[in-house]
Amino acid sequence: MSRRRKSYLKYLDKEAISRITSEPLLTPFPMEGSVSGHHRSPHKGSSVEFAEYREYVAGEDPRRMDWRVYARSDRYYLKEFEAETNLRCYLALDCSGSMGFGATESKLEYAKRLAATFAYLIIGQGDAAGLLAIRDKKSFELPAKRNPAQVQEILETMGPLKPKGSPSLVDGLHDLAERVRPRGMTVVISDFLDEPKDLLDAIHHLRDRRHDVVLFHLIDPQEEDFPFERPTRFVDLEGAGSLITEPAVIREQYLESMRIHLESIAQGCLASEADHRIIRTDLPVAEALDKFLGERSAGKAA
Amino acid sequence: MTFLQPLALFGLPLALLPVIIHLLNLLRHRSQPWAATRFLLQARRSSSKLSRLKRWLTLLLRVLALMGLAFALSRPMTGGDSIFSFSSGAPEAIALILDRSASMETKTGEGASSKRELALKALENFAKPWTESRIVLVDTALREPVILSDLSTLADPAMQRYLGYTGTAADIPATLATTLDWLEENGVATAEIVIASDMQESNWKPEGSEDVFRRLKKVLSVKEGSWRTRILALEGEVSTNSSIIGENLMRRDDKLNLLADLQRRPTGDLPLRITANLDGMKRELTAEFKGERFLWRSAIPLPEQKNQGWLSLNLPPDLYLADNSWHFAYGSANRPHAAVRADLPIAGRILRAAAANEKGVSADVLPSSNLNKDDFAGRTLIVIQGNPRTPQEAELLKSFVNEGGTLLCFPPNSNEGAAIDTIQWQPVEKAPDSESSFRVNAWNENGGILANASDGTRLPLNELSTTTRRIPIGSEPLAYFSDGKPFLSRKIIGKGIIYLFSTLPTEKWSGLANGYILVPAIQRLLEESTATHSPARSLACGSSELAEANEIECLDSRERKKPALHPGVYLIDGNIVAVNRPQEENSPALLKQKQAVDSLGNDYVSYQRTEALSNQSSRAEIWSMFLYLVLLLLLGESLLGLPGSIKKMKGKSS
Repeated sequence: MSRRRKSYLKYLDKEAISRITSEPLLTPFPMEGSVSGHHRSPHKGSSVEFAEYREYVAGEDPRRMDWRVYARSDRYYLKEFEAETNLRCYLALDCSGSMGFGATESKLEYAKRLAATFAYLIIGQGDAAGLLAIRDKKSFELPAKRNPAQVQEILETMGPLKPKGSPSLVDGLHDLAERVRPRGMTVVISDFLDEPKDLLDAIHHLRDRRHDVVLFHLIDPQEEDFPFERPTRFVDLEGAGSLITEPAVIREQYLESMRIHLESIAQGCLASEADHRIIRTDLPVAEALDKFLGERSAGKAA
Repeated sequence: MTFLQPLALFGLPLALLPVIIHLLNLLRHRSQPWAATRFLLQARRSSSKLSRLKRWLTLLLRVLALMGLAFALSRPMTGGDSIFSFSSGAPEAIALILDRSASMETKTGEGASSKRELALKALENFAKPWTESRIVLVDTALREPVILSDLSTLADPAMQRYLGYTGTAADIPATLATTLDWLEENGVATAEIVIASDMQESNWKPEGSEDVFRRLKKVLSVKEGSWRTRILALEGEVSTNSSIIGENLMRRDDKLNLLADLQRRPTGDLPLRITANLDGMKRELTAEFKGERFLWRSAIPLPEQKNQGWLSLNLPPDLYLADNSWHFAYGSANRPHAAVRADLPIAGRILRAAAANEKGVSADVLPSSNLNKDDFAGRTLIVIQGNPRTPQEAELLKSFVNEGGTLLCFPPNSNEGAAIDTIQWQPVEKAPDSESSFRVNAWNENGGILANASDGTRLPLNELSTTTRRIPIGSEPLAYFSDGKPFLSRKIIGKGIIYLFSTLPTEKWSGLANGYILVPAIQRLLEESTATHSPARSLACGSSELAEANEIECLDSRERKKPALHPGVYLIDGNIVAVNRPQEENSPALLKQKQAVDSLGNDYVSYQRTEALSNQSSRAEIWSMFLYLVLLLLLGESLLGLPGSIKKMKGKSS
């Protein structure tokens, strides 16, 4: 058992953990957490951050009344402060057959490293992290928790997962949007080979629930460059058969289709204020996360 | 299309190599697990049309390039009867039939080769590719098959006897028959027979050679294409030409009266310069005439009294030299008297008067009975009305004709007497009344004793009223009554001719007695019979009499000419003979393509115009064309392989 645990620790990217320490992950949207934290809450609370004055309405708690204002103006006003809460982050991991593709490392393995490191960082900054591994028939879910043992739970849950079956990411995301009511962050790690329209519907659904949606779009270098020359039989990893073709003949059309697909997802995400990031799997996880967190911090500062 | 190296065609299946390699490549594909299959499918769908087109086009170009290479190596040749003939196409023998008639000397332009020379080049080009075939040459003048060791002998001066210029007429069907006989005798299984001719109708003799053509057709059809006949037609008219045809030359004591038909094209009004060579003495004459055709009369004084002599007339050189000369031979001025014997005295008188000599002296009278050989001595024309009295007389008359004499017969008044040869007379026919007399409506106006006068005036035969007639049996009709029965007929016996009129020059029989028809007819007969007996004669080039001549001397030229082949004046066996191109060579009528092909049967006969040499080489090698095609195909293939060619194609299609 200890050996298994140890082996799953490989998914934690030590370089990323060592590089990303000071910058906390902040979300631009208000979050609904269970305890106080670094993140803006949609509710008014008792933090030190002043929010606004509001006229008192009968029945409200008189303890929050500003007596100084009353002394000056002989009117009852309530002094409100921003509530700050913790973040519930759900890591939605696509485990469909297509995630098994990769020249050196499968996209699923890369996704696991990305998710594990991300969860570690989230829990490390005191926020809660949960896992939803979406697979054809059987999905695995870990509710978001903030205790450090959650990292281990996540590792052990997703560690043994193998890529399998047809794409079911869209259904999984809809399901997630329905079940997880409190606003949180949903990080979807997938190759997003589903129909863009269906995928964007699911993202809209999540955004309607006020989730901060982040899409890590994994692309293998071979998928992006299509470097094949000789006649090749392409065997679909999701069981849709095979196709014998001359890559040189269809290369340009393939790349064009790919570009259109990526562009339509990117456009949809932009419209629904979801954060879409394309990550080539030959990019180190540390770099990918550093870039993401850096841009997030810059966006927050702005 | 035929092939000189048909074995190379076995390389044709190699053209499928690109396709096989392509399929092998597809079979040798590697397997690649793939996630983004939907993009592949989309890509294949969107690229399927143009990319597939490009791919198959590339393959097609490669296949065609290899096929082209195989064809080039097989040395294809044009001119086969089928589109493809997978054989070397080399026949066992190639028979070249060369029309050497005088008209083949026509040139189509200044500095151009004559049709005969063009034909020789075309024949050489035709036979050149078939190096392994036997080549036999048959010319129309000699009609002797000559086997050529190789084609270079065509340029050998020693071959001029078989290839050079002649002034003869051609008998194409007879020459073809000779050729087919030779092929048959030599057991030739496959043959290409090429007839190079200017398609002059008189040489092809479509009328008169029906039997020969029928036989040729039969022989060719029996061979079922293993003997193929090609007609290389050397058409094309000469644009500038003047010609002379001698019509008549009459000696009158100290002068020669000549009549010649002058023609020129294009028409003009300038006088025509004629060089006359009288017994070796040249002098310039001028024929003043306007227009295209003119009957030129001239009198040339004779410097000395000779028993016989000759006259050559030569026009200035032009594009057709063969019709620029005409040769005459003249003999003594004295003509032998004709002799007449008639049962009816009135007929006798009229006939003697009609047969009077040039000085107006009536013809002699033959004894009314007991004719003997001495009565015919020195005579060339005998006019007889009535049957011979005895069979001996009939036999005497027949032998007179046999030896070259001319006998003019008029119907007997009764059935008594013997018949000459097999000639019989039908019973006397009388017209019902004078208004419905027998009328002559068909005769030869262009030749013979009833021909038009030299000024074109017709003899008044259609005005002749015949009330009584008696038709001869067993002779060849020359002129007809309107009911189809002969008015004049003839029978050739040995070297002479018997002419037979079907009516008498008496009032009871016909209007012949007025002399309008009878006098010119008898005078022409007298002239003709005198000329036949004269030591100075005129013969057509190529006639059989000339072939039999032994001692020959050319009088008009120092060239080594032969009377059987070349027009000119010759001293043959002590007699002067003027040899001219045959009359039929002056005929401009050409045989039509369909007529020529039909005459030999359609199946295995092809017709080709050979006006230009480039078209003459009906069997040209075209491997270089295939090589260029291969280069073009490879260029196209490489252009298709250039990156971005699909985009360009798309751009064009959009």
